[in-house]
Amino acid sequence: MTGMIQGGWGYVVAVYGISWAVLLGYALVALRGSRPAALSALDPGTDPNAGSDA
Amino acid sequence: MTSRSYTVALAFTLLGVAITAIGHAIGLFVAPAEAMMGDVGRILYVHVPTAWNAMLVFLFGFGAAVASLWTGRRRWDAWTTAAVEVGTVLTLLLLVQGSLWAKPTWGVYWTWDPRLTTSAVLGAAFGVVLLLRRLIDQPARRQVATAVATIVAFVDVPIVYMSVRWWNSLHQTQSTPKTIDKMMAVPLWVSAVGILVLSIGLVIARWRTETARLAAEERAPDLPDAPAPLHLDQESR
Repeated sequence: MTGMIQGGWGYVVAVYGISWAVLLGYALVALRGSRPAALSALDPGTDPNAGSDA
Repeated sequence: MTSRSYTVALAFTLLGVAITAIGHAIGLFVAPAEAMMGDVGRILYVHVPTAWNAMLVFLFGFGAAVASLWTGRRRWDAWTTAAVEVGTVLTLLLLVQGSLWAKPTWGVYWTWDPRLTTSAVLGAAFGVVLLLRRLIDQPARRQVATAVATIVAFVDVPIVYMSVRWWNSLHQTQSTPKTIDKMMAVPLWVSAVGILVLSIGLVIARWRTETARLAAEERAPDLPDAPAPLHLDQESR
């Protein structure tokens, strides 16, 4: 296989590391912000355990 | 707003993380090195699924924006905002992934290639939608502006997809099942499904927060009228 790029694992590790850090970090922020307790604090008029998503 | 939709968001997010991890593990440790790119080709198992799902999330956002304009309902405004935010995060991520892939394969982190340029415009356009939302206080005007700006920004999505066919691009054209080995197709598709499931969880979570924020804004009491200016006439002095 002539012409194959040699090495490159550093770039691979950087891409996967950044991707997982961003996705997990954003997921953590999104989920924490959408917890029923967090939404009750944001809007005291809502009941976090109400029966419908109207 | 129920805690049931939070459970759904949490379940989709955790399932998406698990599926993505499996896809990446296959891509990193099982799939063979690509014939020309070598191990650098493994970046495609995260870069390509990120790009596909950014476009899918924007497609959902486009549909929500049309529904928001059509119905005027607040819940579609929240869905539009959630999709635009998640899609923008995925777009910025794919630009970073692409730059790190371009350096060892093209020799540069960035070049004004049609695919790269249209992708950068895509991220910037949806970033402007989010910025616009923060600049408008009046809820009805903000809802219309968000929907219109989302529809306008979405015009770039098919342009990004077709850019490698329409113009002479350094970026390779789309692969088909016939042009990709099964051992490479499996991690690509598993990762794509994983990031899709994760994205659904994230959009639901952001929709919950945005819906609560809009509801709180609607319930907030109007500010009292400004006090009347003092008029001191001659008699009161």
